[in-house]
Amino acid sequence: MSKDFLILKNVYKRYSDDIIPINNISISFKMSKFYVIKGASGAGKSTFLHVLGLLEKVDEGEIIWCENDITKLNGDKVSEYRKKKIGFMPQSGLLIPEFTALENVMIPILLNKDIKEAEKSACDLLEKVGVYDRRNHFIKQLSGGEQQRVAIARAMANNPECIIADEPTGNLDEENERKIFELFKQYTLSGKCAICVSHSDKAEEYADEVLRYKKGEIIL
Amino acid sequence: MSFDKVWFIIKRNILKNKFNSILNIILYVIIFNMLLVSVGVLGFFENYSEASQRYNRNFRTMMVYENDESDEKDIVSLFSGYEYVEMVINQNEYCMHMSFVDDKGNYDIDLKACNEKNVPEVIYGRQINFDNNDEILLPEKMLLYNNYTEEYDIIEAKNLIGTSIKCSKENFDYNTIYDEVENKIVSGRKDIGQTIIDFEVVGVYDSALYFEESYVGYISEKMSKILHASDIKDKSGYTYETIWVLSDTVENYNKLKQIAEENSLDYMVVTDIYERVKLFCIVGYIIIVGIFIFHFIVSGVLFKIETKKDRFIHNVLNICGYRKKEICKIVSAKYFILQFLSFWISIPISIVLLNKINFIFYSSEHMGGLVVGITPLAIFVCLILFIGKIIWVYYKYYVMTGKYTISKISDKKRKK
Repeated sequence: MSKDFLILKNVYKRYSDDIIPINNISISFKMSKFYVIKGASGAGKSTFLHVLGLLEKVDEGEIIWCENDITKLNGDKVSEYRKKKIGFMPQSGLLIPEFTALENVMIPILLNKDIKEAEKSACDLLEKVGVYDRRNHFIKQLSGGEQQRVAIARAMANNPECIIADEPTGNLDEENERKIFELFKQYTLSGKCAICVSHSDKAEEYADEVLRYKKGEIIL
Repeated sequence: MSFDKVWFIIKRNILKNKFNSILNIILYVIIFNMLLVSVGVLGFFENYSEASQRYNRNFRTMMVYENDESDEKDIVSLFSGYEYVEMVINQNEYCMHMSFVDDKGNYDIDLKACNEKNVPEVIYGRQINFDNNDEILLPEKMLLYNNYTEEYDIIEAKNLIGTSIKCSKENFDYNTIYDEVENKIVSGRKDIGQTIIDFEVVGVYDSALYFEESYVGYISEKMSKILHASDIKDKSGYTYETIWVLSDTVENYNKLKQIAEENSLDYMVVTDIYERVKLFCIVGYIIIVGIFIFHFIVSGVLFKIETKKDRFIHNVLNICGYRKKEICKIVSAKYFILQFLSFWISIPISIVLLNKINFIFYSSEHMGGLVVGITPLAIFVCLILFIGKIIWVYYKYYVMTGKYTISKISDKKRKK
């Protein structure tokens, strides 16, 4: 039985009196599981993911990661968590257009390895996601599906404990959607966790758990 | 984070944003050139001012004119009484034009009067013995126009020490001439023959150091008066003699002006360059401060534009786990490279500009052997700007990093 590695306790985040994207959420996430979060636009799903990815701070509550309360961390310690434990895939991938696919994946790896080793690791990752042949192409030269797979490879670059993805299949067709969700599923089989926000029905076929997000709350 | 990794990240950024990168380089080249040239010129004026106070007689010389109330004797006796007055001498005795003849040619030289207080220091040979009237000091390297060959000859005066040179002076009758046609007295002079004298070359001085031309020799004040005595002075009363008064220091020079004014004498300063140089120095400092301000305003605007464009990549680095310091290092490295490149492009351009300035200066006035060039101070000022900019960029980015969150970028993309 996989243990809870990420626990949220009474987490609040509010932008104003009317806009409360995270409203007293308490939830835990386990390793080796693929979570999909679904909900209407404006419910607060993206904000929730940003909080999990340590890109935004909460106003109240605790976020405990492997028994460490990360809400109390700041500065370099937060960056360390992002580097080692979290692989974040923002909406639209946010790949750097002036870099090739290979160079985009190398960026997080350079934090731990030298350039040659980073290049080798990045090539392995791109092969895994099926974009190896297009590694020296710039992002604009890749299709939508290929771009998303490069973004996944970058998120996986430092072998994080958890991949967090915001709408990874955006405007993709069924075939590409399937490929993306298969990659997440495979990742969790190695004992890691994947959490993603998606409107796609296909996601539920691959998810271990589907969370409904409504007006700042998670409905289990 | 090692430099090769930093370069890996920024090289694409520099190449992709070619327009901005080139604009930055152009800006820095202009700024560095402005600093190198202005600090170089300022340094020159400061050196000129300092050197002139010590070696340039003109900075402490005043011309006083006879008038109806005071004649030459009155002026000489008035100023000679002051201990800070080095010399009081008639203009024609102060400097006279002579010809110097040797077996190679006929050359024109000027001989200036000096005494124990203001004789130039010798670099070869010995000092003039002021009891001997026929001793002369010459410039170390004389560039003289040869009237026979109509070309310039270089004469190393060091080789003439211990020998005699024959000099001749034209004598004139300065009495005014009555013009019968015009039916009036006109001032003029008549040639009444030559005085030929053998001068013994006893020593050589550095003419450039003393702001003298390479054709100026020095003889004793006594000898100068003797030579001038062969001219016949104007007796008409229509022209007034000019007397040159030299103070010992630039500070005491103002006292001469005060004395002239108190005694209602007509006077003129030989050169007002001293005042102008002081003004140039002040203007120079203001310009340099202005350049710094200009740089920070313009580069601040460019920085804002660039950070907007670069925010995307920096937020991606943030997501990937790069620390604030690492992101700031990457941003600063980019500016370091652009400035470094610009600095080395500026050097040859500045050298060309400074050479042009030297040419203009040398065309207008003798510069005491001083040249305008790239000075250590100019390099140091550029370095301050260089380092100051890197620190400023680092600090600005350190404060900015993390403020612009990924959600705002996502929103912008969604709107597109």
